Amino acid sequence: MAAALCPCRALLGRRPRALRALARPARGLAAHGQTHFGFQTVSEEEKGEKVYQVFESVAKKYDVMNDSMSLGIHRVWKDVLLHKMNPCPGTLLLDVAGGTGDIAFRFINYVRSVRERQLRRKLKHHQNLSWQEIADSYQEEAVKPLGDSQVVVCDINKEMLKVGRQKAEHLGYSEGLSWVVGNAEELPFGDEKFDVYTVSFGIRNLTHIDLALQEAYRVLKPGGRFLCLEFSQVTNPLLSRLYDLYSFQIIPVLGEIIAGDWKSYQYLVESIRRFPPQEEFKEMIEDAGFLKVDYQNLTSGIVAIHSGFKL
Amino acid sequence: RSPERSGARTGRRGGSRSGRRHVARRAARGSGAAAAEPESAAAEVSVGRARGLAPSPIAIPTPPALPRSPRYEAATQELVNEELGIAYPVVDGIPTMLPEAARKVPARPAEQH
Repeated sequence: MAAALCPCRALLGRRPRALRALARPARGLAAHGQTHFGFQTVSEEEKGEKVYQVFESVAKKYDVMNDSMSLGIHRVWKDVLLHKMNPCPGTLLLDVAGGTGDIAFRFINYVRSVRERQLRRKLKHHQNLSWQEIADSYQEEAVKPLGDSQVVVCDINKEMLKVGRQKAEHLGYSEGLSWVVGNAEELPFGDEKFDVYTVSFGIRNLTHIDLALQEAYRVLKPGGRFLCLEFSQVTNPLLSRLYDLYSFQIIPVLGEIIAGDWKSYQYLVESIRRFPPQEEFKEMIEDAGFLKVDYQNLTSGIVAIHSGFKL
Repeated sequence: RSPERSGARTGRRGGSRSGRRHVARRAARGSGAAAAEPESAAAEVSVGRARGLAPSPIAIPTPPALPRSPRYEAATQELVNEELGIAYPVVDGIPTMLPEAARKVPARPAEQH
């Protein structure tokens, strides 16, 4: 019955979405082939190049700057994302624009602890285990601590991936992790490969966000989940003014002091202002084909987690 | 759920459990370090359509259910997907899977099982 309902829903759903896509005002596009780079207008080819240079320049200090700029709150945001994802062991995650691997490491920690809890619960419920069975369960925990979960970290910038890989070696993450250079607008993966697709603070830097959303839809398995953690519009007007003050007066200065790079951080705070607000981005995700699209504001809308399902 | 977790941690098998986990983690790290080169990346990542090389999407026949995992060619330091006939360079252990970076190699379609 569900199969019969689905085509009707798809037919009814798709037409208004297509019309909405035509009606949506072009956000900051001066002319055809032009796009925004922060508050500047650049050609589309140039934008990719400039974004690459920004992240190449900030790669080594990226984590330090994240901590200083957000006063460590970005860790909470990323933890909330993982709790929302609630992955079970065996999940295949694709983390796009995952750069230094924050989401990937959290994912591995999460499934590892879920797995440990699973094994412990299994042991507890078995009464009268033989010594062989107990030894086997220890073996299982040693051999498959992640339960076949895997995460592929995909980023267009090799410098960010190198920093991430070094961090992984330093923190002792070895298995279940892959580092791949790839373009989010043209992913090198087959159709329907991943259970979850995440993009965390990366999608606003893309030249064609709609292409990335279409690619996300393509590589997700049916039932797969799309999760996007991104800066968004603040709901509270007073907080919004304080946030603007902080963004434009303090963050570039921090960038100059800590990373020696004023312009990159100027671009980063400007790009936040150029990103569509929550509702508009939700419509873009729906246009790509995702269903049950929803968003959750964190810290009064400074960031938002958008979630959609491929059904 | 948390009382159960804390109970298990501080309770009966506290000492031996943490010791066992430490041993397991050390073993995993040891085997992981050996496989840290792209072999593991190749096994985990399945390469699909590289749109930049192929003709328009309508002309591509629907690929089989699971394309074979690409393999790492140590001689040329490339990740080769024979089925699609493309090879991606691997630099510093990280494959560059961009359409512009791919190189065409003689394609060998998957054998029918």
